[in-house]
Amino acid sequence: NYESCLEYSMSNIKYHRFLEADGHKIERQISGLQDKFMIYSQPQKAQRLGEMFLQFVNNDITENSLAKSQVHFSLLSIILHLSHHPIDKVYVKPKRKILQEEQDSFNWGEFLLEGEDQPTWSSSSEESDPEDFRPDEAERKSLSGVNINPVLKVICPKHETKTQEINLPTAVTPYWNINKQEYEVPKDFERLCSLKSYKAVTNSDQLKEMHVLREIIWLLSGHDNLFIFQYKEGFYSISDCGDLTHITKTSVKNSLEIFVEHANSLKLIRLFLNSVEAQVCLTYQAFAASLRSYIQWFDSDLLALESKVKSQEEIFLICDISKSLQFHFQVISLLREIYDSSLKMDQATDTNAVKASRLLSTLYSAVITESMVNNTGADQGRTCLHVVLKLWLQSIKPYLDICDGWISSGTLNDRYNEWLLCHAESFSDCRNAKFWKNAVLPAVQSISTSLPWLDSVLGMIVIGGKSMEIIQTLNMLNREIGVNGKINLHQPSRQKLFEQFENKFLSLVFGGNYNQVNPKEQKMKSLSNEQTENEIFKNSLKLLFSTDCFTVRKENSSKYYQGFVLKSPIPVLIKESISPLVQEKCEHASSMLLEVFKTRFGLSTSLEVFHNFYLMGWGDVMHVFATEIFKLLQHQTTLNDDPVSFNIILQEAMAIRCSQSPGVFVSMNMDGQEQNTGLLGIHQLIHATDFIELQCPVEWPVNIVITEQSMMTYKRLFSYLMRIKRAVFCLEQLNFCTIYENEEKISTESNIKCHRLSLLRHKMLHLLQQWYSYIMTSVIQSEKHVFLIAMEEAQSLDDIIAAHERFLSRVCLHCLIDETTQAEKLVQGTMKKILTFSITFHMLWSLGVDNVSFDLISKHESDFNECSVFLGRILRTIANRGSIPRLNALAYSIL
Amino acid sequence: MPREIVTLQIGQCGNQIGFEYWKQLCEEHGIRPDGILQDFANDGTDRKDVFFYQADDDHYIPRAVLIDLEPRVVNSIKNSEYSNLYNPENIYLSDHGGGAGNNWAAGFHAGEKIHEELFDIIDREADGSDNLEGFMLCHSTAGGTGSGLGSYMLERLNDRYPKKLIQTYSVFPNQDEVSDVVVQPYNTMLTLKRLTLHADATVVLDNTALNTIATERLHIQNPSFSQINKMVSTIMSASTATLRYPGYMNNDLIGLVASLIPTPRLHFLMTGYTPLVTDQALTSVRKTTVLDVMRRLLQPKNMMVFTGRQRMNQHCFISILNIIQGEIDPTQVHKSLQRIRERKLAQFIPWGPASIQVALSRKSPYVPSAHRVSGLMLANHTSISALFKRASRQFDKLRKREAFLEQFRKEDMFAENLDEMDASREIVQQLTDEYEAAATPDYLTWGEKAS
Repeated sequence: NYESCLEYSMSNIKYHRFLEADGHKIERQISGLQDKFMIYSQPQKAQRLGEMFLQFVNNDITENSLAKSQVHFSLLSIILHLSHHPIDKVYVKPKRKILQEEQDSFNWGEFLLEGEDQPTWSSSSEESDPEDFRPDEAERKSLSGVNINPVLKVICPKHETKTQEINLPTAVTPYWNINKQEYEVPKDFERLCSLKSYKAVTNSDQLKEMHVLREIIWLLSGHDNLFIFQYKEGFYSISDCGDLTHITKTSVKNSLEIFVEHANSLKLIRLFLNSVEAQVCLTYQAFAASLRSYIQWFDSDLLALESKVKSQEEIFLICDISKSLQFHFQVISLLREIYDSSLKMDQATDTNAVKASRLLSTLYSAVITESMVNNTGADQGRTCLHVVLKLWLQSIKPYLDICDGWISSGTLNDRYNEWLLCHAESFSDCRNAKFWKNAVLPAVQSISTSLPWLDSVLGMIVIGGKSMEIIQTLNMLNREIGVNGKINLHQPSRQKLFEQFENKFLSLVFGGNYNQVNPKEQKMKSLSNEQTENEIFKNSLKLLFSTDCFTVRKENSSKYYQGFVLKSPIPVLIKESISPLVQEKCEHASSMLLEVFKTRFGLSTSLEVFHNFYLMGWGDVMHVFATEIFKLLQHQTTLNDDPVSFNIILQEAMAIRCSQSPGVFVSMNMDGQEQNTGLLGIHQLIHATDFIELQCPVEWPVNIVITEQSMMTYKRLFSYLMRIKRAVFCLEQLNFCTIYENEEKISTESNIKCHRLSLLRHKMLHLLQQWYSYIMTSVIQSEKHVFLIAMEEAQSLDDIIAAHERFLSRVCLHCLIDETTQAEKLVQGTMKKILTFSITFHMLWSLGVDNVSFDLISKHESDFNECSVFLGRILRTIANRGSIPRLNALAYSIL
Repeated sequence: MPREIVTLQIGQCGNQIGFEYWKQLCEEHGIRPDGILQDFANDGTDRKDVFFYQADDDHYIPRAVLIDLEPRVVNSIKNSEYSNLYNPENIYLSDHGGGAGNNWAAGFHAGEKIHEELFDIIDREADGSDNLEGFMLCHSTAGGTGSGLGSYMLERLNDRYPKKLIQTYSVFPNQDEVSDVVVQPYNTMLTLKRLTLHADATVVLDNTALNTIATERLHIQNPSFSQINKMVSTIMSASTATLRYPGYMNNDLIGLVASLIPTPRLHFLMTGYTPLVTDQALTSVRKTTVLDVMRRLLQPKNMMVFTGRQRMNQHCFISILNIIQGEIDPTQVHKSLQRIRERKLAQFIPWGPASIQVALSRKSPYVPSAHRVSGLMLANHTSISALFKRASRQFDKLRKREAFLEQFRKEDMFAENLDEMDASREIVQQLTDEYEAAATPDYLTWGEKAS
């Protein structure tokens, strides 16, 4: 039979009418077929026929023949002719990847075979039809790779279970004689084909299309035990078994490859889902959960497909499967990409934070990429972007929850250490002064690239979180101490950060213009009155994965799915939604902390105390204190080692101003003191007051602002001011009557001496007073002014710390007390000399005018003049450099 | 340990300006006329204890000693609403109540007689203070009590309390009109000697200038004494503002004064004040910034010492202290100083540094003022020698004629000779010369001239 068929068809093709097939005739025939279908109330088939005809005709078969060429029509006429001669042969027409035209001559078969009882696959005696064999192979080889692919529907008894047997003999109802060659030349076929394959074929390894379809579905559902597809080492591959009667192996392979690929991806995903246990970090869990829901959706779709295949009510082919699963395939390939970039790269040494951030960043870039793809698909309500956006939103939920917890209540609930910030171990206790600066470290490098959507608000989050931690600790402290007044943490909104973000973002993404009222929306609103717009938006994503088969389009499905109305790129939208929310919460936290600082812990009071004592803000108190000390110094060159007397002096001085002591006391710091037995060397004179230090202990949390370093600066400034004050005091105390003794005793010489001494005193006093008033007024008072303004405007603890630092550094800068540049060193050196001069001058003066010689006076005068001129010049130089313009006035006044 | 200051009010004029002064202080500190603190006065940062002390019943008593030889003024004080303010033990009224009759010698000798009683009071006040810083004397130089008794007090205080600062607010007579005291040149001269030798700082208040300012600036045709005294009290309270509202600097009197006085004799200070307001609120279009105030203070027409009608080009400032009160931006201060130096708004001595100091102080929160910033200037200016020259000229005129000397000869001091007067004249001449020399670079070698 086969041989005769072969011969016949060969001759026909070569020589006969198929050579000249009339295009129009063919078309008319096709449309006639279509009409028949319509009459027989099978419009889908008619449609299908028309589509495939067009597809076939419009596509190239080979490079040589173009669309609508003779070859096309020849082939078509062959097929049409064949269709008139049904042979009980069933072929499954494979589809080529290159959109090979499918001829739907199958409908006849179906029509005719309906209701017929087909032998089961187990008894496959009938199928020893030689025509069952793969004639196409030979044909293909001879016909230059052209596949003639009639399509027949496979009719098989329904399978009850999912499990497959290895041997899938096909129920052959050889019906069609597609190719006459087969009829004629079975033996040739035997010759042509290898024995093995023949055997393999005769061992009932014949597959029908339906089998293939069902295998495909099972493959995609994740089963390992399949016939066509082998599962080895975690990968599926197409095995060499199983043939389809009407499709060549290569084309089968080609078409099945796409399924295999996607099946591999699905396998990986399913493996991942199974591996996610409770021990893995929350982000992974959330991601897995949403992924699982997607897979469930996919599986339900597959189930629906399978039932469709089984029921065989419709035409369903491999190409149909792939078309209907196209959307899912897109998603799966996207997921595969995500998997490759994130989960696959997980190593055992990676911390959870790194893993989580990697996953989130991959998802985020997927979102961005998808959003940039201009999706012109038919269904705007469900696109890849929807899916990936939903995945992303679900995955960041734990992240945002951790963030929210930290910002709102101060506890960092990070069980799996997956968040991008973590506490440094050495500063775990909030009460440490260094906590503020160092406690929180990023656990992940390059946050700005991996989590750009969080990057902009990261600074605020850190501040907010730290503030809340401190407040939390304070609250706990209060409970320990038993203070009743708990800090009233007035929460503006109890809503979780994630919910707020979701609402806002979705409304931005979906809503577009709120004012636009679609009739659809109206209907929606009337249908479901309780649903707010936000809920509708949320439902869009929620329901995305939960409805029925994608291909089954329901009437009201458009009600549920909204297309995106993206007015700006997604990153901008994300930022827009998350920034204000985070900002609000963090600002709330920061301002509360500030309030707490200011009211409960008296930050301002402490700063005031420091200012008043160390920087001599309370001029009168410090003046009295200092004067007493200086008087003691006058009478004895060394001071007592006893701090008690100084404390008494300080207390008495403070009593002028306030009844309670603000906690400042005097201590002696003997470190830098050279203990000479006799008089102190002349250079040490001015340092006699240095070892008097004020101590003002500052507790946590105020010592976050007033750090150790700033206390050192305060102390330095204090001793500096004491020195200047001492010099000024010495000069001010000089009484004229000490030198201008009695009127009667005045001689010209003494007169002159006295005169010169007085003038020198005047000069020295002038210079020192200018310097002192410069420091107090222009430097300290002005900077304090600025600092107070900054304190008022501060919004977080960081601001206050920065302002405080700035204040101190500027004071030091303007006092030229940090001897960093050469000029400053010179200035300080000269000042030291001048200060020492004043003390020696004081001693000179008290000796009385008679004991002072002219030379001594002249020496003093010249020394001092030198120093003052030098000083003036240096100050002028520094002022001219421009950094400290105030020095100009000082320089002027000195020169 | 606060640095207390005891105020001595001597004579009619002295008591009158003292009265105004205490009135002003009470207003500023929120003290009622009977000495009790007002309810609204709860600003605890002002230092009342420099000038007041608290009695057992918490009412504030000024550290003031009121001395007069005739009862008129003191009685009027006692009859005013402030009668309960003062410590009645601190009021000394002479028994005979006749006053000094505008005679310096009478006043002086009266002081010798009542020395014990006076110093009882003063010693009591001094002991009552923890750490007395000094005395503030209010008197006039033209009358009898203020000048004579005042001079006596100066001498004795210096002996008794040599380490304490003595600052005087001396009112010099009006030169434009012929006052009712014809012998005022004698009185002035004699007082000036003591002021020169025994006072540490003298704030010169010239009635001439005060009258002029009152007439021209405040638009009062014939200013009464009370109005002028109001101006004086403003000046006095401003000069003690940094003591009573302590700030960063200038927390004691000696600090304020020490930089103004180069040599012991050049301690006569001129004052200037701006802006001056009358009691009626004068709407002004002025903008009061630190620079503004400082500039105005340097203008000669704001000085409260009349230095003659010719312009004194060769005179200059030895030193200036500006006390600025109000809402001040401390960053403006150095800029203003810079401007003044750059534009040479003030002429300074050639032999020493150009000393301008600025002291910043708060204002009283209880006294409303139309101006945000106000300023007082205390300056040591060499042109004050003009005042002395004027006094000397008038003295010379009278002395040559030997007019009105009979009253003086009645007193012991002048019974035998009038050497005292000549000695005083001599001292004043030296003072004038010294001031004149201070305007020149020769001052450096001043002492080489024969004393």
